[in-house]
Amino acid sequence: MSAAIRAERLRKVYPGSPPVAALKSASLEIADNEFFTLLGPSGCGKTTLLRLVAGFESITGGTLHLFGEDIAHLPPEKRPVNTVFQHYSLFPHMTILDNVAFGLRRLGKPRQEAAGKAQEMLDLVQLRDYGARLPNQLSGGQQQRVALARALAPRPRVLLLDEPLSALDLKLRQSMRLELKRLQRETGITFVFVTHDQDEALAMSDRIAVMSAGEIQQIATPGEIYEYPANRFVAEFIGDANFYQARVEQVRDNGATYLTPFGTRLAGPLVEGAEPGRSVTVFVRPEKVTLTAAATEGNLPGRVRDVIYLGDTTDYRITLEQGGDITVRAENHKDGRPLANPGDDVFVELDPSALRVLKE
Amino acid sequence: MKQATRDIRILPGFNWVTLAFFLYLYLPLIILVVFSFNASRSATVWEGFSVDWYFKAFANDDIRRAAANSLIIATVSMVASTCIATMAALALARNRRIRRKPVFSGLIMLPLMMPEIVTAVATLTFFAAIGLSLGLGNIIIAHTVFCIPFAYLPIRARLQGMDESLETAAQDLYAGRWDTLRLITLPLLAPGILSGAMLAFIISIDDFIITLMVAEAGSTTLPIYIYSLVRLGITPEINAVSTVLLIISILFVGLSYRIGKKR
Amino acid sequence: MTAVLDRLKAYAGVAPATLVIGVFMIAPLMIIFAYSFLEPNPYGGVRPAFSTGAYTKLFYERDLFDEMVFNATYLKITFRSLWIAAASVAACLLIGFPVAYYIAMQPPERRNLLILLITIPFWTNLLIRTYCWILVLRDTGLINNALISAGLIDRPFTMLYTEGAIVLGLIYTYIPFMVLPIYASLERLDLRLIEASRDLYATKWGTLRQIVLPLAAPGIIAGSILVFIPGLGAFIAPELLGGGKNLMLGSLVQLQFSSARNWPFGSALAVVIMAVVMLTLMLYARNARRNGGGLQH
Repeated sequence: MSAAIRAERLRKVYPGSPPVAALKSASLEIADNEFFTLLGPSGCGKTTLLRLVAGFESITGGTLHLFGEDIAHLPPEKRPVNTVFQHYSLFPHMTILDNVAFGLRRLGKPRQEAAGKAQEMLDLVQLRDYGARLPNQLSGGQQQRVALARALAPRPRVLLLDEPLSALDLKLRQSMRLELKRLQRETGITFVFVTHDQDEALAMSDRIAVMSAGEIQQIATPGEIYEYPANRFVAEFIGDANFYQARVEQVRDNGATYLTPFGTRLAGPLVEGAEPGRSVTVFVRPEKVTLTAAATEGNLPGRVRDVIYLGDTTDYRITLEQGGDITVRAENHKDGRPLANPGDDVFVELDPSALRVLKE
Repeated sequence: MKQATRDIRILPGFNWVTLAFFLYLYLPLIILVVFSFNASRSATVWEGFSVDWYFKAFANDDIRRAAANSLIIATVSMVASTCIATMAALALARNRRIRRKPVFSGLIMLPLMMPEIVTAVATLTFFAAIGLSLGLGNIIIAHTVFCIPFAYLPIRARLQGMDESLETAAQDLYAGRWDTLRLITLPLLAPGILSGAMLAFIISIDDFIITLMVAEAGSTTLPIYIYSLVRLGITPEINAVSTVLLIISILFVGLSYRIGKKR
Repeated sequence: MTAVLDRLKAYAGVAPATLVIGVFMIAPLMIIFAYSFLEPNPYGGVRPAFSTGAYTKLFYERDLFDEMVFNATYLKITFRSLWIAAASVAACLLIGFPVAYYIAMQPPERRNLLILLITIPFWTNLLIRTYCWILVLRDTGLINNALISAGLIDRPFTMLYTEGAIVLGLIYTYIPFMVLPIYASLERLDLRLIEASRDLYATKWGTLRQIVLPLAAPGIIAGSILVFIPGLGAFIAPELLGGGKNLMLGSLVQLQFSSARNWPFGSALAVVIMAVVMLTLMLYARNARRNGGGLQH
């Protein structure tokens, strides 16, 4: 079985003066039956990549295969791929049922059959009784579900979702996440999901491609992306992190040891061009650091500068005595009291295994 | 690559239709202008460059008289119709005490919805019935009525695009109703009023049918004079006069477009 | 008392417009209606005697024996006018839709420029624009000269003074009225709907038929009306390009108030034109109301 989507050095330049390279060079392989997410800030090229797969834009360079077939020159209607649009894009002059049956009708299904299938899809997205209404008589969340039903009705081999949840409010967004995941499991269709929301990406995806400035930064599972980001961009974009400069102490065959600014040693992967004495970036997630009042050996003394209350947790910005800052994220006391107040002298406990070396 | 810049919205052939359309639109006008500089009497065979027809046209007393009439009529009708249209547009957009607004806006649009020939004979009949005979005055009245919707449309468009909160802000800063109108609304509305006035002017100076029916002897306007020349036989003199009118129209439309775009 | 005065003051802004249009537009139209039921005065004007003669003249004439016989002359002119106006609408639509679509798909600055280019000839004198076509179409005009010198024909091909020439002139005059409203509705069209349609297996032309045309319908209908109404009462194009042979309603009306001196008949014809216009507008209004809910957004 070949990959659902295989892109090699895919490139898109929008003509103009100057021309805009929305996608510089993207290579990726998406497996059949996968929930794959393209994650990145706006303008990173994720939507462009999606539109190239859908066929809305012509590719400037590279190759694009769908289940082994070269689709680069096929118009959208010849690709077994359907899209859920960010702003739903329901046909305003057609009823909900006609909207959902649209693709099936164009594929040559008789009216009766198409209507029957469309009704099934409406049942699936829990809009059984809405078939006769017009799109503008539905709420945003309902319209989104219709858009989903419409794109799924022709049973595409790949479903593309372009930030489908971004126009919904938080609660609805969270319940739609579960629903999307359920639909993907039930239908067995490959989902390619575009979003700028890291929580969405982490919660739903089998794998994530983090994109920035027209290039793919890293492709990995949510856990890998969070724990072992490929570079500083990924580490910063997903979750929060404290960054420090460490020094290469010793290079070995399959790794290196690094001297951290906290006087500890850290064994890590080999960084490109590593030689003793060179500086590398290390980081630690704020929730992996703890705040303590005990002056145990190895704990770092410092003073609390800011306390930022976040509801379930609190962020403490601490100025370290040795110089530099660190942010510690800690759960609140059961009674809601903060662990420390601005101006308090505290100690920070930093387990060496929580520090990670960035490869780039 | 076969289709390097494929845009899925583009429909084949539509670009050629558009090109042909613009040729169709401009070719006759280009011919008109080119042959106004023709040395011979022929209006279609080119025999060398000359500006004689322009001098002949300007030296022609009838043309000068007709042009003067046209200018007087267009200026007066422009001022009158623009004033009426501005008042109506302001009242309909800002005065909340007026009820049945669609009736009033429909009434203002009426001269635009009637085929011109109907307006023309109706006005003629009316003037004859009440025995009105004011020379150019008759034409001015008829043109003013006909120009009101043309002046009204750009003003209303401008008012709709205007931020009403600016006026509220002025009132909040102790400006009375008249001060608000004078200091805020009218200055902001000025581009709309100006383009409305220009459209009214062009409509009046170009009008033919209404003028033809309503004009009394001695009140010949430029279009009426051109019409009589066209019927009598074609000389490049018409081309010369027409080119001048064309340039005036383009100037006015271009200007009103620029003003409308600004700010 | 002050309440009444207050109410009057509220309407002060619309009063001049109402007064001017009421006196110089509504009243004249009412007089025309009244005149159509009076008897003609052979020296112009009317005689104050009730008569439906003007309307029967549309269908009947008195023969040599003073008997009423059916006369198709005016009906023919009426139908010719309707036919020519309808043909102009069809031709304007056929040309205007692709043009409007093409312009709507351009980048914004180019769109505005193209729209300005359409409106420039529109604001130039109607007579002059029509006169240009005489130069092009007549037997010694540009097309015939070109065809003859190219050796394609040896005798001029008659184009001027035909119904085709009138339609051509009407298209030329009124096509901006078709392009602009269609453009306005296409410009507002959500282009992502085209993508959605293509994504759901509709072809280029299928998308045009299923999505674009239905959503541009308000513009198409408005444009058709804006071409049809003035086309019906057109005067200049039939006079100059039809050469008086192919009489249309506009010229017929003008004739009754000038050389024919039959004001009641002219008035009756004007009333007929007004009736057709009102009917068209009423159909439009009803249609707009019916579709208003679904197509506004």
